[in-house]
Formats: sequence, C-alpha cells, structure tokens
Amino acid sequence: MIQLTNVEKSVASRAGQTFLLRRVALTIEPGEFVTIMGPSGAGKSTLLSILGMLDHDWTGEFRLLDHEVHRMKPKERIELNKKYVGFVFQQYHLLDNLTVAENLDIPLSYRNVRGSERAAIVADTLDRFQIVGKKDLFPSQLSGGQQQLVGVARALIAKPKLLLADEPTGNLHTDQGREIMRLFQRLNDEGTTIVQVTHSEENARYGHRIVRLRDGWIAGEEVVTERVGVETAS
Amino acid sequence: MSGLVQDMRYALRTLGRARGFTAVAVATLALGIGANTAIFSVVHAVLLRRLPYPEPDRLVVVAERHHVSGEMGVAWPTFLDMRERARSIRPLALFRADEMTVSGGREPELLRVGEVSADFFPLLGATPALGRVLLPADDRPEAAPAVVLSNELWRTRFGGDRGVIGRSIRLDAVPHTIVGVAARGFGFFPKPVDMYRPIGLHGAEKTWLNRGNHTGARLLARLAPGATVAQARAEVVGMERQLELQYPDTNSGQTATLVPLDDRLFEDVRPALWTLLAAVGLVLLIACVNVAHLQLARGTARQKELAIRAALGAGRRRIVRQLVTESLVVSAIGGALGVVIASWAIGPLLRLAPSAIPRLADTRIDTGVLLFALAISIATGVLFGLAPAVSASRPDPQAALADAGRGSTAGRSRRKFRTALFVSEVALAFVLVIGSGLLVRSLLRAISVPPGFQPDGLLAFDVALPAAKYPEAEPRQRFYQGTIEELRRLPGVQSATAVYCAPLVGRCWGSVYTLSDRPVPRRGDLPSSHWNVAEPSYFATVGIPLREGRYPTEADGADSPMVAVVNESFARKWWPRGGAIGKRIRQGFPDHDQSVYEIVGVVADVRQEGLDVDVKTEVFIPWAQNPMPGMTFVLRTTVSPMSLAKPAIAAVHRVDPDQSVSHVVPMTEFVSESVATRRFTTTLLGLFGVLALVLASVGIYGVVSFGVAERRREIGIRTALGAKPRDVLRLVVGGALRLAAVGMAAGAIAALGLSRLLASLLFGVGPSDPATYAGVLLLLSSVVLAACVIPARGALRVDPNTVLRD
Repeated sequence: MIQLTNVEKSVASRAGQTFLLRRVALTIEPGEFVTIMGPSGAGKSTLLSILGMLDHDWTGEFRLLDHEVHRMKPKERIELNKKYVGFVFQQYHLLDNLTVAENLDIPLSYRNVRGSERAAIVADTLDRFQIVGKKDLFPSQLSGGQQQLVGVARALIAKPKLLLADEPTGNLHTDQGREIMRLFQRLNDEGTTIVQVTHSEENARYGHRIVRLRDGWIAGEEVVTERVGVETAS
Repeated sequence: MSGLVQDMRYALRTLGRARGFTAVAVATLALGIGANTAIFSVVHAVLLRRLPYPEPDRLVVVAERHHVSGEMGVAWPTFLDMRERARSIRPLALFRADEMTVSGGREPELLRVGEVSADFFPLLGATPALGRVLLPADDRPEAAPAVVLSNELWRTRFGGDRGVIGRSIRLDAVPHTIVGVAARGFGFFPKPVDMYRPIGLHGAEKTWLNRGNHTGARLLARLAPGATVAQARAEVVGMERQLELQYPDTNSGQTATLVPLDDRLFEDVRPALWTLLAAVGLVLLIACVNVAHLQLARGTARQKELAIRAALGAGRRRIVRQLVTESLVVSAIGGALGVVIASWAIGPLLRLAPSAIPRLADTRIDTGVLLFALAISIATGVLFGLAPAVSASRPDPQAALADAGRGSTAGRSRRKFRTALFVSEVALAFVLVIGSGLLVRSLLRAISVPPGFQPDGLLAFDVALPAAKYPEAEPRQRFYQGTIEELRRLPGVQSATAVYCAPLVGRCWGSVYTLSDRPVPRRGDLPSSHWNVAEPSYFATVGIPLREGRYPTEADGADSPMVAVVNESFARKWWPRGGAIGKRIRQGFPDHDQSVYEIVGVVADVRQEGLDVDVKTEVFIPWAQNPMPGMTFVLRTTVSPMSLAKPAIAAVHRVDPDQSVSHVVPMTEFVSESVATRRFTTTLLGLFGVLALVLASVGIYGVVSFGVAERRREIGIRTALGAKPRDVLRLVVGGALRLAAVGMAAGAIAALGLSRLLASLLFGVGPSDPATYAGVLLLLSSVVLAACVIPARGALRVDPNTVLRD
C-alpha cells in the first residue's frame, strides 16, 4: 500500500539544516494496522503529515498504491489525499459551528458528491456509528469520547483506503480510549489500513506492528505478538 | 448551487455566533451604503433620469450673448428670423417665465406664468389632461388671450373641476380664457410655473419689436434629423453674424450660444452633486477598509477552522467562496439597512437642499436607486471580503495536527496587508477631510463677505404692477408713492423705501452706456452696467454708505434734471483718482434716444448677485424719473420684521385692493439664500468628513488593539527586560503614528491632485490652501492619537509574569 524510500525532511535554522526525518524507509501492506511510536520530537507527527500528504516539503520516494507521490505536484497530492486518506486528530478538530451531521457532510461536499447522495451517506454513517440521536447536536454538547467518535466517523465517511490517526486517544480518559481503539480494530478487520501515532504501549498492541522513531531515524520495528482483543492460538 | 446554499446557511450561522463582529460590520456598512444611496437618489432624480420628453438628447437651448454684457435673452425679432431661416434646428419655440397677478374672487395672488410660443408643447411631446394646448392661432398679438393651467394649479385653485375649460380669469387685469389643463407631472421650467400663456401676445409691443431689447426669453429647439449640435451651433452663430451686419445699431458685438437642454438645466448643479457622490463614495471605501480589517482579524482567529477544512479536502477556491459568501451576506444585510437609513435621510436632505436644484422634489427610493444600492452592496462585499478571504485561504493544514491551544499569529503577508489597509484608510480620510475643510473655509469666507448693506431688521416684499392697469409712468408712481406713505404710517416701521433690483437677488437689468467725457467707442465695444431704480431713501434705509456727493432726494422728481448715483466700482473704473461727481452718463446706444444722467453721488458697492460673486458696476436712477412696472419694497423695522408682514400687505391693499404682494421675507433671508447651494454642499461634505473621521478612528483603534494583542508576549518580555512605560508607548503609539504619517503623506498627494476638481466650488481659498492642509494634518494626528489611547493603556497593563508563564 505505502512504500517510503529514503524520505527525509529538514528545516533551515541558524545552526544550519535540522533534520526532522532522516532516510526513512517504510513499507505498509494493505490491511495492516501500524503504530508509530517514539519520544517527543522523534518525528512521528511529521511522518504522519507526509503520509497524509499534508506536508509537501520533503525529499525521497513515496509510493501510495500505484501512485508515485514524490513525482506529483501539491495539487495532485491533495486530490490523492481526498481519494484515499482519512485523518483522525488528537484534538478532534470538529467544526464548532456545525452540527454532528454537518461535520460528517463536510468531507463529502469537498469531494463534489451530490446533495441527495451525501444525505444518504451521512445517514448511513450516523447509523453505523450509532450516533443518530446526536446528529443535530454541536460539538460543544458532546463528551470527548463522543467528539472523537464523530472525528473517526468523519475520517471514514468518504471510504478511504488509509486511515491516519495522530494520538487519537490523547485527550480521552482510559475507557473512552479503549472504545476508540476497539473501533479501530474493527475497522481494520473490515479492511481499512490504519497508521496511528501514539505514546501508549497499550494502544500500540491493538495493531500488527510497531515502528519506533528516534531523532528522525527509524530505530526499529517489531511485530506485536499479543494483540489486545485478539485471541492467540495457544 | 446546493454548495452555495450550504455556504449561505453556514455564513448566517457563523455570523449569528459572532454577534460583535457582525453588529459592527453591518452598522459600518449600513452607514456607508445608506449615505451613498441617499446622495445617489438625489443625483438620480436630478441628473441621471432621462428628461421626460421625446428624444430629449436632441433638444437644445439658444441664447444671445454680448461680448461685454454676457448672456442675454433672444430678442423677439431674432426669434422670428431664426424660426424662418434655421434648417438644423426645427421646430423652434420661445419661452420665458414671468409673474402675473391673478385677481377677481379670491385675494389677488402673484402666480408664475410660463410665456411660450405655439411650438412649445409639440416640441416637448406634451398632451393636455383637459382641453387643448396653445395653438398657433393663440400665439398672435391680436388673438384673444388664452391660458393653459398647470395640473397642480387646476387641482389646488380650481378643485380639479372638469368644467374649468372656457372659464375666464384675470391676469394682470386682462381677461384670459382657460383653454386647457396640462398633464399631471408635465413640467419644463426649473421653478415650476402655474400656467402657460402665449408669448406672441407681446408681438405688437414696441419694446418687444426693438431688436436691442432682450426680454429674458430663451429659444428651445429640436435638432433636425441628422443634424449635430456642432452644426446647429455653427448655423445660429452664422445667423447672428448676418443679423449683426444687417442691424448694426442693435446687434453689434452679439453672437448666439447653443447648448443641449440637459447641460443648460443642470450645468450649475452638476459639479456640486458629482462632488458629493464622489465624497460619499470615499466614505464607503473607508467603511470597506474598516470591515476588511475586521475580516482579516477574524480570518486570523479562524485559521484553525480553515486549516481543518483544508485538511478535510477543501480547495482554496472553495474556502474563498465560503468566506466571500459570508462577506456578501454581511454586505447584503448592511445594504438593506442602508436603504432604510437612506429613506429616513432623504427628507432632511431635501429640506437642507437649495430650492434652485431642478427636479429635486422627484427624489425618492425608486427601482434605479434600489439597483444602485444592490450593486454597491455586492461590490462592497467583494471589495472588503475578497482580499482577506484570499489571504485566509492559505492555511497550513499541519496547524490542524498541532496543539490548538494558542491562537496562530498572522503571517507576514497578512501583516503587510493590514498595514496597507491602515495606511489607505488614513489616506482616504485625509482626502475627504481636506475637501470638507476647503469647502468650510470657502463658506466661511463667503458669509464673511460684507453684503454692502445692513440686512438685519429689514422686511422686503415684491409688487409687480399689471401693464394693463398701470401702462404709464404716472399711475405707477402714484401707486408707489401712495404705498410708501401707507407703509411709513405703520407702527414699528422706522423707514420705508423701494428698489427695482434688491441686493443679492441678481435680477438687475443691464444696459450699454457712454460717458460724456470719453470718446464714444465702437458699437461692439460699448461698456455695459447694471442699472437699478431706487426710491430716494433706499440707501439710508438699507444702510448703503455714501462715499462722495449726495443721495438722491424727493426733489429729484420726474420734472427735475435726470440724476444718477453710481457705485464705487463704477467710479473706480472710470475715475480712479476721483472726480465722478458731475460727470454725465448716457444710457443706451449712442445713435438712439439716450437718457442722460448727471452723477450726483457715489455709494459703496453692494453684492447684487451673491456674496461669492464679484461686484459689477451699478448705476441707480431715482424712481420718480423711471418708475418700473415692479419694485421691491423694503421696511426698516423696530420690531421683528415678519411681524409686519400682514400689516404691510394690508397697506398695499389700501392703495389697490387688487394688487398682489409676493415674497414677503426678512432681508436676512436674501443673505442666507445667496449661499444656499454652497451651504448645502459644505454641510453635506462636512458631515461626510466627520463620518470619515469617526470610521477612521474606529478602524485605527481596531488595528492598534489587534497589534497589541498580537505583540502581547513581546511587550511582556520587553517589560521584564527593563522597558519603561514610555518605551511601551513608543512601541505601540509610535508605530501607529509612523504608519499614519505615511497615510497622511499619501493622502496629501492625492488631495493636491483631486482638490483641483473642487476649484469651481471654492471661494477665497485655493485648492492647495496651506492652512487647510496644516489644520487637517493636526486634526487627523489627534484622531490617531485618541484612537490609540485605549490600546496603549492595554499594552501598559500587560503583566510580564503572566505572559512569560503562558
């Protein structure tokens, strides 16, 4: 699904070039659930921005499905992002002056989906995530967990092949966080490729693989042997 | 389309949540759009609406012009010649306005009468509401006098009676038959007339048959098919040249002028009205800049929202469309409120406006005005919304991934844009206030010009004697003498007098003359002067000082040697070193019967045509030696002048119960009327200047406050490092003053260029008057300083501890 080869990002500073990512090489297969971990400043969010095509200022090679992202212009990358990628933010980033239903509708309206079709898709999504009763509420009227649920629903409404999540449970308490992680696992079981950034070891064990970053380098990878919520054969 | 509807729905909701911004933005735009709509409604009614005649752009007005005395009416014989010979203009109609007394039945009343030739109504495509219009058969000296009533007079004086046709009324004691009623809304004369009468009835009068007698009539004509204004002008000028050769006695030095009717009607008011529209347009621009500032600040605060939208797939165009839609919603609400404000403002505006502006009474909020309001609302929304929208539409989507705790600071380009807005707002305000300042100084100069007489405590009224009842000098003089005696007996009257041409009204008659102690010049070079007729005590009554010699007395009667009193300008022109007394003036053309007057006195100059119009030479003749058919009576009173209005009218009626009296006013009104147009323009431009200052100060306050909020951390750190309050003030206020200085410099350059366009409206003050520029500089600097006070105090209150811990 994703192949990164020698991806690097640096910023100019008074001291010269400061590398945020160095010679990153990473392959993610379709249907994988990958966790990126590392201390603060390791480059996790930067890597996620590049994967989500929100950041265009990097070097190296990036292939998404059959597309050579590194050869594309920013406008083309944005179109690719719209087609294949959904994003879940730590801060939820719902639009405060829109209702839950309208927040779900926004990504569809930016993808030129017809009004009647959008209404049907929003209704289905509300149903799927069991938030029909909340469709006319504003984000300020929801709990943190509910807001993040809406954020996830919004990220998935356009049926992306790839879901990127940056600290999705960072602002939630433990139970809410587990709910979200179980949801991610279900989505992954249904076929969505997921890449998450987290500090939580427990959250990392919901996925298949952990990629560890340190100072912009990939310091190591490990396969999760005991996944949370998955019975292992004894 | 559904996207647009969605954007509008979101816009309304977003604006509803940002009540503070919405209220300020809507109020600012409502004021700007309202002021523009109000002024445009006047411009539309007066200047832009098509004249209500068929092909009005092919109607022209012809006058005669003497190279010394200026424009004159078309003499009756000249009109007949042109009607016969002209090819490029056909048909032709002669017209003039006069005042005549209608009597019999009710109290005698002076009415305005339009005297017109037979082609007048067909030229203007006018059809009657009742009866018929004037015909060629009516337009002959021997015809039975006929009148066509104006629709207004028919309804007010005759109760809309459909049986009025065929009835007789007495005009100046002569019976006239009512043959028709004009259609409702029909009008031509700038000051509406009450009825129309054939001008051809004068056709046999000796004075009218004299080619040298220009009776105040003008010629209205239609360009012939295919003819141009230039061709028609060349033809009438050519005809005048032929007449000059044919009749050198009367037509020397004369030519003709021909202008489109449109220009003729509006040439005096056009500059003032367009100036007002331009000025109020500047006010709207300042309002737009203010709201653009607010939008920019809001855009900065909405960076998170816009970044999220971009991260969710919104392209730049989509974000710009959404933001511009919000701006258009704000401007639409502002525009709707602006129309309401304009509809309220029209009443006071019309009351303030001078009555001399034609078609002013037609001012209303009609379709054209509403379309204008819609257009400027849309333009305003795009103007103040587009640039901030484009600026805000480049959010950094990565900001959406970062902690959203602190507000994002504005990018460099946004700061530059805000600076440009600040500077342009100051520049626009400077230009507008300079315009106001120049006009205010002009008005003050004009009203401080001594009128040449003492208007306080004077009451004036007009009397026009009907020729049929007072055909000769002797009955006129009897009437005037009798009236003066009655007036002098009234309690509260200190003195009573009369004059033909009252000061500041500009109705004097002009005539050529020669001097006995000078060689007679060529016909075409004969000097011309204002001629006036006055009762002997006129000068003392109205307070015109004597400079040399004596005033006329009762002894200067009809049988005495003819005497005259000249004004200082006349004396200075011919005898700059003195010695006017005893010289003789011969009034009229040299080889005609000239009246010869001996100069017995020199009086101070009086402003005959207006406070802001140069004094012309003037010759006064005693009324006993030339009793005119109409005079203005003047009373100097020891009580409030208007309290003597009714007694004065009663005094006139004791002499002649059928004589009408009109224009009973205190003479101080003459003074204020003479600057009415100037005062109107200045008052409005002054209001716009004040509005511009208020808007600019609100805008400056907003920008400086925003700057302080942005630099709060910097101010805290500087304070922690030892900055004193005056250092903080220098940072905040100094920065604003520096930008304001740039704005004022740009404004001064623009004002120097644009104020030349105001030159025709100025009096006693040049377009680059240094005192005005200096004054405006000080005023605007004070406004900038005042607008910085509250933000500066906010900056001084920044606690370094709090800031550094954040």
